[in-house]
Amino acid sequence: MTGIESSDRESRIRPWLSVGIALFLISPFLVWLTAIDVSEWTRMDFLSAVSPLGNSFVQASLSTILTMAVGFALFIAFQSLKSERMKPWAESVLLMPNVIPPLFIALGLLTWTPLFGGAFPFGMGAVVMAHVLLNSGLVALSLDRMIKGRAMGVIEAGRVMGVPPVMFWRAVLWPLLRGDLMSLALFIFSLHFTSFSLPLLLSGERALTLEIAIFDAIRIQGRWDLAVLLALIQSAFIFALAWVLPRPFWPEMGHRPGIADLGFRLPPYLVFLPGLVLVMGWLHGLLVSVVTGWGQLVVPELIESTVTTIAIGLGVGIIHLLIFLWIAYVSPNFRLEKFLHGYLAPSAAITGFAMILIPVDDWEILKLVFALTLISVPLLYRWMVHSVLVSLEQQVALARTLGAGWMMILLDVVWPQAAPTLLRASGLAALWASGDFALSGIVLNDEITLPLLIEDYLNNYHFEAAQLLLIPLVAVGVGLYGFFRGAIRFVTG
Amino acid sequence: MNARARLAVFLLLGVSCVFALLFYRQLLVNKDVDRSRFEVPKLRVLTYASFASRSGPGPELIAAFEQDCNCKVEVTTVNEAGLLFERLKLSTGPSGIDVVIGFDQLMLENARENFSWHELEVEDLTWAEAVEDLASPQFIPVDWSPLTFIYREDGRFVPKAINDLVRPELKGQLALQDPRSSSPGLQFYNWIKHLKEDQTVEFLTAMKPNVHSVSPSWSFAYGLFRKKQVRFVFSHLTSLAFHWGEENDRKYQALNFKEGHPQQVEFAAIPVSCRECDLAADFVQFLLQPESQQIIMHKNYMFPALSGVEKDSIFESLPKLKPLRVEGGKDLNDWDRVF
Repeated sequence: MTGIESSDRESRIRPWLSVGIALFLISPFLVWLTAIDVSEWTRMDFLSAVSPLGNSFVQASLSTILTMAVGFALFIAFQSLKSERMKPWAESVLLMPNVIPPLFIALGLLTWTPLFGGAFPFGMGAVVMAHVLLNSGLVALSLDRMIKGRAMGVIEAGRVMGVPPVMFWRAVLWPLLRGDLMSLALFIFSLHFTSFSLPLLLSGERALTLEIAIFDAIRIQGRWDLAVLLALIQSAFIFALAWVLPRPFWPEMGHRPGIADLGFRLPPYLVFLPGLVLVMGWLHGLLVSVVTGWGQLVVPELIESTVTTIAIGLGVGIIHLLIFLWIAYVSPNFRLEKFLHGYLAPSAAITGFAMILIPVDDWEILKLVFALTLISVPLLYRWMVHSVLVSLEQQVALARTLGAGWMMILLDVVWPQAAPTLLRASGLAALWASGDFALSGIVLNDEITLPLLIEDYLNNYHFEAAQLLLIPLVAVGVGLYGFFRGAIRFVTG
Repeated sequence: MNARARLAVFLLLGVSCVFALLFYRQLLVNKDVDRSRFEVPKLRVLTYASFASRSGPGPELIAAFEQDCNCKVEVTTVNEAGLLFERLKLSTGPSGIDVVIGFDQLMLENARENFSWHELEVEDLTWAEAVEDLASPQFIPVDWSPLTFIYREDGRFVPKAINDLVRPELKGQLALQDPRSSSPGLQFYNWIKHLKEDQTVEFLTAMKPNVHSVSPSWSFAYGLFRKKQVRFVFSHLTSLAFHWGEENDRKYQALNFKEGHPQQVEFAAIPVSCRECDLAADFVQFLLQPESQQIIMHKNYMFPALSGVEKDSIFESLPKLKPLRVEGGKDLNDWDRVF
């Protein structure tokens, strides 16, 4: 077979592979559509979805605005860190809240009750505060990557020309980064819009968001048809937002020097604040009960759950990498790009129970790996992968003109340049997967992960042991992220 | 090595690591498994996670049952008991469920209306007084406990009657659970409704300033209590068995109201869609053996369904609360109006 024939064949299968990606990602909906009576939807009072949609929107908007603001402050502080050796630690601390189970984030916050005059402010404020602590680190690291990648040259030029900081940010950086910032905000908005546990734990009196309405439809009414419809409305809402927002673009940079002067300075150790707020709450209980907690732990199940958690996290990371490579292989593809940019996976309950509907027994760990992948691929694509693929489009076009096949382009043009981003995104997926208990609780049967073990201990009064288990959980999460980050050096030589 | 080769090595290494870890996990889990059991019938049990968890009664019960049944028991779990029937709905066909364990009396109506159940013959059993009138051929009680507020003695005001829950001394000191997402939460709501009837809204409104938080789950509410954020948490009376027995701490006490307390009774039942129905019947009978009831009592921290099993245990010394038969469904209108 000649190279031209091979390339023709590739060109024929690429559109089908694109459809395959889309079908894979929407598979939970497809599974459900075969299991529910869609005609029931005609009986639904659509106005009843307006209030949850509104509540979700307000909660997610407030959380996003504040998270972006605090994330920006953390980004400025991150730039002020002098020691290069300190930066990986700071990065880990910024990501740490993402592996702590929501229940401990909530309990950690409650430790600060004396600051609120003895009465913790349950309600929208508490939910927003928790979201800020959870995700402002992600924003800080995204801004770091985005600004260094996109605007490093402009920053240097602005400094040489002595442009005043305020004018520089308003007239230069904002127009340059607007699209990217919108994309980042949409990513953070999606996380908050679909947040389930924290609104449930911290809203005090029940604020009916869409995620909670989906839960109620299942738990109280037993109406899966309604739950699926609400999930579709949720996905459609994010899809519509993604269509109206500007297209993001920020190219990846291999070497990232620190930004010496952005016109603002903040104390560098501010980057440790979100982690500290949560850890102090956790340590407050832990220090007085470490002995009791250790006595309650059963070592064999600790080992088993740690091994299972690592296997699941690693599996999720590897599958993400393969899917990102799959997407890279069929890129550029405008329709797929638009789909991926707007698509939001259904909630944990819908995705998890869809896995149960798949009539394959004894593959629960694999089902969980796929379920976790279905949830985080669209988010990570939108947040990280899309930009790097767009930035390589011209090189791909040039390689095609020169007669290169698609597989050669993927392996010799795209992969060497996109590897850092793809691996970092896969590492984040692994980190999130290691902290998951919502999907794991639905999909797994007798397999036990660290988050499920924590839940077991909590349900059996062993609160101290549950607190103690956060140590291996955070270590596994950060370790998995570090594994994929460390692989960047290996694969890029 | 070029970038292609490095990618291939990384992917191979990653996939190998995943499989190696899963293989190692399998070795850890199956190191004591009798290989001959793979050829035997499988009994599928559906229950809630903490019943089946390593520190719950499930593993010990299953191990004991498997010794004599020439079968393998497989457990399917849901996060909380309220989702048992939703999970059962999805379990028809080849992955069908043979036994369901852990739904309470407030879910019986749903069980009767939406599912069909096998009838079981359980004779010559002396039920505990609390479960006697709830036992039926379809729904077999396995454990029970009264519900009340648990607190730590500290010399401060302690309520003696339900109306004391609105006293201003208790401002912000009560941890409740949401009746939508928590079985104890639903029990509390139905309790108040039963006692206050058409005054429920007024009572809940008066009590509201004393409510520190309405948690989605029992574990979060109990976590608040353990972290000393609240003085009183709505829970099972049998929570005391953990504090008194395992922690040897008698400062933990339960409120004892003269009006009486609701009781949660947990059931086992066999859906007609079962595949190993005889084995399922054997398993339910097995749960009612005194030895099994002991395991359930000590590991699930609940009273046994059979009378006398708790004799000479810490459970026998727990306070006796006046029982109150509380009926109720999922009509949460009064709750919604206040919270």
